[in-house]
Amino acid sequence: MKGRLRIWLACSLWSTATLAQSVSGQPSINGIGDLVAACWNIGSLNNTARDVKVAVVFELDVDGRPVSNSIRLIAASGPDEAAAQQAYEAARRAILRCGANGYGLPAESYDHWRQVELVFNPEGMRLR
Amino acid sequence: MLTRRSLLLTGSALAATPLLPARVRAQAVPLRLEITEGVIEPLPFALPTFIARNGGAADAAADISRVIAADLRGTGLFRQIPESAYISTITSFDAPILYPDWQAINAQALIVGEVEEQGGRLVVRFRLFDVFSQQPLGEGLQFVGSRDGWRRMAHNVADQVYERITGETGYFDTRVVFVHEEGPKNARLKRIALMDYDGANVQFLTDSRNLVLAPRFSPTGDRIIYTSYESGQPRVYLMDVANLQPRPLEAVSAGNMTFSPRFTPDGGSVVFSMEQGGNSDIYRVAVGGGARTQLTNAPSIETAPSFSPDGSRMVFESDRTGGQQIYVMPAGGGEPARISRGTGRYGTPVWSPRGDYIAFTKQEAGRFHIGVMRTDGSEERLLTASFLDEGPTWAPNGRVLMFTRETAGTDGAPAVYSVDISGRNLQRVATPGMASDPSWSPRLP
Repeated sequence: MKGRLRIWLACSLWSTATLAQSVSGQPSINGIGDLVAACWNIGSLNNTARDVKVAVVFELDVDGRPVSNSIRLIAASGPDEAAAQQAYEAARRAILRCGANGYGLPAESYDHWRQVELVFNPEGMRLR
Repeated sequence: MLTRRSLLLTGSALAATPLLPARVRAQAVPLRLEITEGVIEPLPFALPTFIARNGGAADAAADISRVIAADLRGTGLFRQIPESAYISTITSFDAPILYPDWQAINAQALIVGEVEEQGGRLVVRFRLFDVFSQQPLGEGLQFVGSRDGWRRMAHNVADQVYERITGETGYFDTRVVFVHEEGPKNARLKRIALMDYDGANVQFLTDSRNLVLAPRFSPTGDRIIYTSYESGQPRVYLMDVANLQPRPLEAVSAGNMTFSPRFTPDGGSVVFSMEQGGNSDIYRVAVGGGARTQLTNAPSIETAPSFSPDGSRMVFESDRTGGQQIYVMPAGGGEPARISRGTGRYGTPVWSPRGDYIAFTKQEAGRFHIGVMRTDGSEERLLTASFLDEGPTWAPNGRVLMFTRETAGTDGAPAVYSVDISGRNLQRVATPGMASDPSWSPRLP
């Protein structure tokens, strides 16, 4: 899965530290992205929605399962609200579907991953 | 480029924090990750056979369920999970959904419905659920119609499901006018025919005494214009779908060949090609009659006109530079600009109902292709390739094309195919025999 996930460049120093730590000792944190990516299906979206990059924030419970009603769209590229909504719903489905049994995250570091922001960037999928 | 919303992206933690419970606020900034690769696969859906509320609705419930599923599968965007895999049984339209049962079989969308007969009419109700979000996708809807209209009600349900998931306007409740063909290749009989978009409910609009070509729907779908050899030479005719009475287009002089007609976007006029003295140009005339206006004036063949949806521009094919190429010009006339720039010949351009693409036929190196390009000629993409593909027509949502594919040889026969504008999901449309020259209607009222 290398290359399928990259750290959001705009992350804060705090986030960078968390991720650095996860790279060395807690690879399963990065695994959230890999798991969600496997469920992120844009096959049923229209061409406009397929081009929309969305940022979604959500909470995880202590078992590493996404809390359904915490999922929120916080940013979207492009002016088309309907397309943003479709792109967001595909992202939400991915988070919930692949997190249904938990993301297998280490409970001792719950404070580090209980809130996650995922950016779904389809740019690299346009030519497929 | 990110819009104003993107300002929230870099400051998203600040934006999100007030919305979250106190415990979460203890985490100063959310863990942030970017996902750049997902999957492009048909979305799995479950569609338990609709419940029949009374005995008179049993057959219709099964038939409607079958057509909805076929519509969705046919897009290539959805995959139906077989009923044999279902854990839950839907016994009541209003019963709570047992989401874990549908999650377990990986259904991402669930369509639940019921059909009731009331005084000889059918009432169809449906609900759509996002299985993993455990919530409805939009509100439940009800359609009422005659028993004969069950297919339209099924298409309407499928359109709703398609729209709610893809964000595109559906195209299932539509019809296609085409040329039905019979007989050997050297003595082909042709009739104008009408069918549902999926090949059902075929109705013949003309007999086979006269050769007919290129039927086209009006923007409202209630009239058809086509070319007929009834007078011995090609001439454009108009027909109301309601009464099937053809009449020659007014203001066209007898003796002149007219062909390749198409309505203007407002439906008030028709553009067509007219041959005079060995030269063909494009003209415009009001449907109700009156003087015709010449739109092109060149010593070459100008034909296959099609308008942009706003009516401001017209695309057509011309061989003014030698081989056939595609040109765009102002609708009222003016200097055409060539937009096809690749090698080979280009023809039969059709402007997308969304205005963003022009579909065309391309001939190159002995092969024919259906393709699309931007309206300035950029981003040309070929979607198909065969011995003979030609004459694209757009679905009203601008996402799917139909066209004619003809096989080679003395036994070669035409058929109608459809393809997604991404080039995926090439399918033959089920027609009762040989078929060519399709023209897609707008969504039915």
